[in-house]
Amino acid sequence: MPTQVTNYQCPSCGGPLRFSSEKQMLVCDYCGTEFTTKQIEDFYAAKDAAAAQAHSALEQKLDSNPEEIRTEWEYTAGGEWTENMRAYSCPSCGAQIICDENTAATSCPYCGNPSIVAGNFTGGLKPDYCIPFKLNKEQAVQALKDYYRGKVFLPKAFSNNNHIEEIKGVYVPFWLYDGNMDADVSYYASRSRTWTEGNYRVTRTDHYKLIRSGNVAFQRIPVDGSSKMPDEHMDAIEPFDYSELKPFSTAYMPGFLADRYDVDSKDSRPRAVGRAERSSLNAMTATTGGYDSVTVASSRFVPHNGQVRYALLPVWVLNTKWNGENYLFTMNGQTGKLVGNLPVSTGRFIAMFLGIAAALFALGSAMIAFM
Amino acid sequence: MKRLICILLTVVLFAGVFTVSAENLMTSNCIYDVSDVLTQSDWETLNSESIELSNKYRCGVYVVLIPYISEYSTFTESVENAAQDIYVRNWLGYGTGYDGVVLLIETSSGKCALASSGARGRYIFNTDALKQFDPSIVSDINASNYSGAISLFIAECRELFEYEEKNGTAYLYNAADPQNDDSNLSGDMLTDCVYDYAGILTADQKSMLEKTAKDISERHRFGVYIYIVDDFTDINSSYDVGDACESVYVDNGFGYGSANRDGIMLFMSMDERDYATYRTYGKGYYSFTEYGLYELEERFLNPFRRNDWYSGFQNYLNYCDYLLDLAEKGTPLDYGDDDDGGYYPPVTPERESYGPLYITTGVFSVIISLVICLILRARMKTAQVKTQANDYIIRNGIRMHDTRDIFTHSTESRTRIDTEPRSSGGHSSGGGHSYSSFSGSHGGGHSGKF
Repeated sequence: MPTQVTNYQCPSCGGPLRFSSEKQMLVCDYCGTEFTTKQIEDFYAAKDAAAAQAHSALEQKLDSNPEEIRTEWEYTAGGEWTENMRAYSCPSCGAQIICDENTAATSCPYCGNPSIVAGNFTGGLKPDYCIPFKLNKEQAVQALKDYYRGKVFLPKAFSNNNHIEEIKGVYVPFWLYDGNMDADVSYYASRSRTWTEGNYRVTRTDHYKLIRSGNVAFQRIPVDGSSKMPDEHMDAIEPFDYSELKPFSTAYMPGFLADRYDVDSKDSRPRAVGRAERSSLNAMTATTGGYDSVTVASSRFVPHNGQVRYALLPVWVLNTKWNGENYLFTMNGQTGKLVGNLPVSTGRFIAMFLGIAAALFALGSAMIAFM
Repeated sequence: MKRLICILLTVVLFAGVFTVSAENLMTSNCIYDVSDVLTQSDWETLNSESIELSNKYRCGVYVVLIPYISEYSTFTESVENAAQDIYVRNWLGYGTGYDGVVLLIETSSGKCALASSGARGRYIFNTDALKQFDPSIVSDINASNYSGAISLFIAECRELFEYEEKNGTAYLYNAADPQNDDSNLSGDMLTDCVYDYAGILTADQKSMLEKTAKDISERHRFGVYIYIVDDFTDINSSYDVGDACESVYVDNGFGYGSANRDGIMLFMSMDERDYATYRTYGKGYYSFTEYGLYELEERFLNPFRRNDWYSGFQNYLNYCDYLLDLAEKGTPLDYGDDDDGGYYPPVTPERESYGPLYITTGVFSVIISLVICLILRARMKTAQVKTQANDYIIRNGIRMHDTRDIFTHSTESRTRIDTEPRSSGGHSSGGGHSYSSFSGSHGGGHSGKF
């Protein structure tokens, strides 16, 4: 159970550090000093080692006399605030931070300093990889505005009056599956040719049975491990550019939210396997060219598991509200691909439908008149 | 500007009038002496005589003298074919029907041949008639007495014209010599005119039709037949009802006269409701013009559409009788100056066809509009679950272990093509019917659906 909250503070002035997506460095909010993630990691590693040593000495003392010592950095008395919530003390201002048990990075609601629940990133919960944010909040807002453009059925009031209720950069936990899929597929296929004999059109159809067997290798099929994130949104913002995958470091977290996974790799696996099966079928079917019709007769797929990696991938989440309904948009924090469902104006839909139909009918009538 | 238009219209009008006049009068020469073997006076005499004869009987009489056929035609193996070729290539013939006859003489070898063209030309100068030409023509040619041969040829033509004018029918070998009449109508070879292999007529109906058909055939010396089958494809594996019809006519030796086999036949195939009409060249084409054939079909197709077979056949026989009567009076039923090469039934404006067209346009407009709107609407919802992982297949990550294509069997299907009227052969109109024209080696006709 994570009990400690960390926020990275500037080694020069003690101000809060945030990860800058533009500079790909940690920047101090107050003095503007910039640090690489490595510098901060090394600095805090040394600091943690010293703290651990002090903590060990304290533990020994407590063991000998438990009533003697209390520390404000400890997990707050009273334990869990509610069943799935946790309360932490902010290392900067001492205020209580209450958040979801899966929250791994957040910010203090009082002093605003970015805070990391380090316990959610340690041991078995430590991600293997991370893709740092490349796009910032302003770019996300602009992408949403661009997304509204050209949507003829979007109610005008929606784009004019709606306000972004919340925008947050979230590192979403993803499982990345490697593996192979053995595929055995058989098809019914036919090829026809037609010719004319006198007053008859003759069609000869040759029927075939096609057998295709092979193996398809996949790498890093992503499945989000967060039950809070809608699957359709997380699927739709794919793909991420894996060439920018970096070994995980908490130094990328300041300034963004992060969750640890709450759907484990075993439960997420069926989604990855299902996608791999369909792609394997496509790969087999792609070799059945030259026929007029091809239908699957039978298919069998056997997955061979490879590695599963745990990664945090950057996603901008934008919430808007209109007519009492919430609209969620998500944007790939690396590539800028934005998805979301927009409301449809019934009036505009009908007007457009009638307009196009009337124009086509007028055109057709004119052609008839000139025939 | 208006004045200019008036002048232009007047010029066009006069040109049209003169063009029409020119079509009806033979003004060009009739004797073409390329070999230059006739004296000027002989040529003038013979040429004016031919022109006068041609204009009087509305059928061109031509003589072509050339040194070598090979220089003027590619049909060198047959003088008859060369004569036909030269006739057609040089646009010989009277009127728009290009009716006429030509005597082709190759002066270097003394070879000669006769050829006739156009409906009236083929009618008057039919095979029987051409056989009756005086053999002295050939003798004179061989003796290089070209003017004598041409005079004789013109005289023979005049005789045939006068025969047709006097008797109301062209010269026919059988008619001229009844002793030699080998018509199948009176012979043993074929005695019936009505063949009902589909069994759509009662015995009484068949008997009545047979009697009527025979009577008409004998009176006009022209076979009138009805032939009904279940499926025409059974006949010589034909795939075309017109071909099957001609095949029946020729293979059964139908027709009147030993040479021309004159006649007309209505052929019906009941399975797919196909019909074909077929008439022979010569008198058949003369009596049953494209227009006449179209009118004839109008008479029997309407009852057939009601499955009233007997009435349809009665109408067919009666109208055949009527058309043959007209032809024998020298006025075959025809449409204007139609040359029998492609009559187009009059087209009435198809106002009523616009309604369905507008409805179809409306339906398509609505469907297309709906499709466009649904596509645009789909763009409003972009958050969708992915079902494939194509982006994550490793490069060269697809390895095939087994790829086999095993042939199992074949199937074959045949679908009848609804015969559409050929654009050059005819087309349907408001109250008319659809048909296709066809022609074979002995005759031609129409085919279609009833």
